[in-house]
Amino acid sequence: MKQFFLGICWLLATEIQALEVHEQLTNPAQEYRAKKIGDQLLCPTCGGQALNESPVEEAILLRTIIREQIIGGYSDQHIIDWFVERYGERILVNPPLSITTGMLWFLPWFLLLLCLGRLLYKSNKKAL
Amino acid sequence: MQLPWTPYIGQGLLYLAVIIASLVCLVPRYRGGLYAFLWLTIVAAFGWLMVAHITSDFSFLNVVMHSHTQKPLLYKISGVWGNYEGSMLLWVLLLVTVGGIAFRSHAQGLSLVAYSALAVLLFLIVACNPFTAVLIPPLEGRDLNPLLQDPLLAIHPPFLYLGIVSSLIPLIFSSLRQWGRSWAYWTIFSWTFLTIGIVLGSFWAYYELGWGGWWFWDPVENAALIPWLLQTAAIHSFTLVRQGRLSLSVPKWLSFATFATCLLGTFIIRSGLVTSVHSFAVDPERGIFLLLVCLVILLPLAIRLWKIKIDRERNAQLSLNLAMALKLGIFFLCFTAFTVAFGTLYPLILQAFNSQLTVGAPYFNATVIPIMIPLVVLMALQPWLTSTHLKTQQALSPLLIAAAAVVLLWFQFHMNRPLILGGYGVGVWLLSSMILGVWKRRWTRLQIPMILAHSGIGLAVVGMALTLGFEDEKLVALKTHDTVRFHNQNLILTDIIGKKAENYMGQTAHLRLNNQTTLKPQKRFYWTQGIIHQETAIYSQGFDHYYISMGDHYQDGSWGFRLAYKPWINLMWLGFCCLGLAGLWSLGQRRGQA
Repeated sequence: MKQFFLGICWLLATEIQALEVHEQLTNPAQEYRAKKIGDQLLCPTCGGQALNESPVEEAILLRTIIREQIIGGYSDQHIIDWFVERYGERILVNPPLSITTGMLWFLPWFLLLLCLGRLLYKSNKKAL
Repeated sequence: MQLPWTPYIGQGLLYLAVIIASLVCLVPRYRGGLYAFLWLTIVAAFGWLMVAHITSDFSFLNVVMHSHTQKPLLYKISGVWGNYEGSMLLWVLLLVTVGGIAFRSHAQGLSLVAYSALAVLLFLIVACNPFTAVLIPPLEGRDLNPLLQDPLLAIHPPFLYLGIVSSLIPLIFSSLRQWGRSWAYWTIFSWTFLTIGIVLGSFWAYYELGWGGWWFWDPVENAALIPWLLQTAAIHSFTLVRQGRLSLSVPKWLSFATFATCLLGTFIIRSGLVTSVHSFAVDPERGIFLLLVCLVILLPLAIRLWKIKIDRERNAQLSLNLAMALKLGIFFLCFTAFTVAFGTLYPLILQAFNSQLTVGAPYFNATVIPIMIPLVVLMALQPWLTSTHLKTQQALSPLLIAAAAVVLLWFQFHMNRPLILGGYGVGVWLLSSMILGVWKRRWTRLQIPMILAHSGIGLAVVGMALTLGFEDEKLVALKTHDTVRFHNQNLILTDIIGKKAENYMGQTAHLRLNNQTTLKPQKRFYWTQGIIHQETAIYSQGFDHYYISMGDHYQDGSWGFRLAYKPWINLMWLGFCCLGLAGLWSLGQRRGQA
C-alpha cells in the first residue's frame, strides 16, 4: 500500500499518458477485472474520455482507487456503485435507461422509422 | 518609457478592413477594386501578426501567450493559427481569398462574401482581438502547447479552414440562383479540403496523442464530420438535379446546412459550451457573441434562399434504380449528420434542464455505424444499378464474395463481434463490387474520381473493422538490454539517450526490432512550458503498424512502454488518401469551371 501512494506522489509530479505500467496489479486476474471496471467508467473531468484512456491526474487517482478496492476484496458491482454514488450516473459509459438516456438512444431510430414510413406511404399513395 | 506601438498597426489594419468591407457591401461602384483592397488589408494584418510571431515581438498579448524565443521557426509560423484569435484571422483571410477567386467577375457575390467577412471581422475586434497590446512587454513568452508543435498540425488547420470557408461559396451561388458548374466545382472543392483536413487531424491524433486512437467522437471532430457528411450529400444531389429527378430545393438547403454547421461548429465548439478534449482555445464569455455572429451571417442568406421558389420534382415510381439509390444515400447521409449533431448537442440541451450526461464514443459507435452500413451497401450496389432497374444477377457475385469473406473471418479467425463482422462484410462487398465494376468496364474515364472515392471508403471500412477486431496492446517495463516478445516481434531496448533541442530536453529510447530496425520513441520535457510530452514511434510492416510510446521512468532504472499492434491499419489510411485524391482529381477534371 505504501508503494501505491509513493507511486501516486511520483505521478502527480509529471504529466503522463493513459494507463501506465506501474499502475497495474501484479495478479493478472485482478488486473483484468480492474481494466474491465475502468472500461465501464468515464473520466469525470475530461468529457467523454474513458477512464483507462485519460491522462489527467484525477483519472489516475480513480484508477488507483479501483485497484485498491479490488485488493480490498470488494466485488465489481460494489466498486461501480461506489463511483456512481460519488459522481452520479454521468460517470458510467453506459448509463441505465431513463427518460433522458432513452431519448438519446431511441430518438434517432424513431425518426428514421418515421421518415422511411412516410416515404413508403407517399410513394404508395402516388402509385394508386 | 517607450510604449509598444506595433500591435496598434495591426489593430488599425483590422479597423481599416472593417471599413472597406462595409464599403464593399454598401457601394455598388468600384466593388472589384474595393474588394481587392480589402483582401490586401487582411493579408497585411495576417502578415503583421506572422511577423510578430517570427520576431517574437512580446508587445502582442497573442505572441506572449503562444510563442517563445527558443521555439523552432516552423512552429513560430504555425503558432499564428495555433490559437483562437490567430486562427480566426486565418479564417477571414481564407474566406476573402476564396471568395475573391470564386466571384472574380460577379459583383453581387463579392458583396455577400464581404458581408460575412465583415461580421467575423467585427467579432475579431470586439471579442477576440489578435492584436491586443501588452502595456509592459515581458522578456519571454509562454510557449505553444507541445501537442501543437508538430509538422502535421502546422498544416492541418489551413486545410480544414479552407474546406470550411469555401462551403460558403456554393451557398452564395445558391442564393444567386446559380446551380451550374461553378456550384458543383466549389462544392467539390470544399469537400476535398474538408476531407484532407479531417484526415490530417485524425492522423495527427493517431501518432501524437500516444494511445493509438484516431477518432474520438470528440465534439470538435464531430463539428468537422457533420459538414463533411452534408457536403458529401450535396455532391451527390448534383447529378440528380441535372437530370431533373430531384427538386432544386435539396442542393439549396444542403449547401445552407453545410455552411451553417461549419460556422456553428467553428464557433460553438470553441465557445466552451460543449466540453471537449481539444479545449486548448476556450473562452465561455464569447458564447453570446459567437451565436450573434452566426445569426447575422446566416439569417440574410437563409431569407434569400427561402424566397427562391422551386417547382417540385417529377416523382418517379418506387423501384430500386440509380436515382432512388442516390436519393436514399442522400437521405442516409443527412440522417447520419443529424444523429452526430444530436449526440454532440444533447448534453447541452440537457444542461438547460439541469441534468448532466456525457455522450461518448459508445453512443456514436452504436448509433452511427449501423446507419452508415446501409450507405456502404448502396455504394456496393451502385455499379449494378441502371437508370431503370438493378441488374440482380451481376450484383450477386460481389455479395457472395463478401459472404465468403465474413464466414472466413468468423470461423477461421474466430471473430464474433457483430458490428465488426458487419462492417467487414459490407466493406469487402463494396471493394469487390468496385473491382468487378472496373473489370466489366461499367464506367468512363470521367468517373475515375467516383471510383477512387468509393473504393477508398471500401478500403477504409475494411481497414477499420480489421484493426478494431484484432488490435492488441501491452504495457511493459523494460531495463536496458531487456527483451520483450510481442506479436512475433522481438524488441530489445538497446539504449536510452538524452537529447537537447531548442525548447525541450528529451530522452530517446532505442528499441531494436528483430535486429533490423531501430524504433525511437521519445519523452520530451518542454522546459518552456514545464510540460512533459511524448512522441510515439511507429513501425509499419505491410499493412500492420507496431506502435510504441514511452511511459514513465522508475526508480529501478526501468522505463514503461506501451506497445500496440494495429493490424491492417494502413488499409484505412490508404482509403482516406484515396478519398483526398479523388477530390483533387475531380477538381483537376473541372479546372476552368471555378
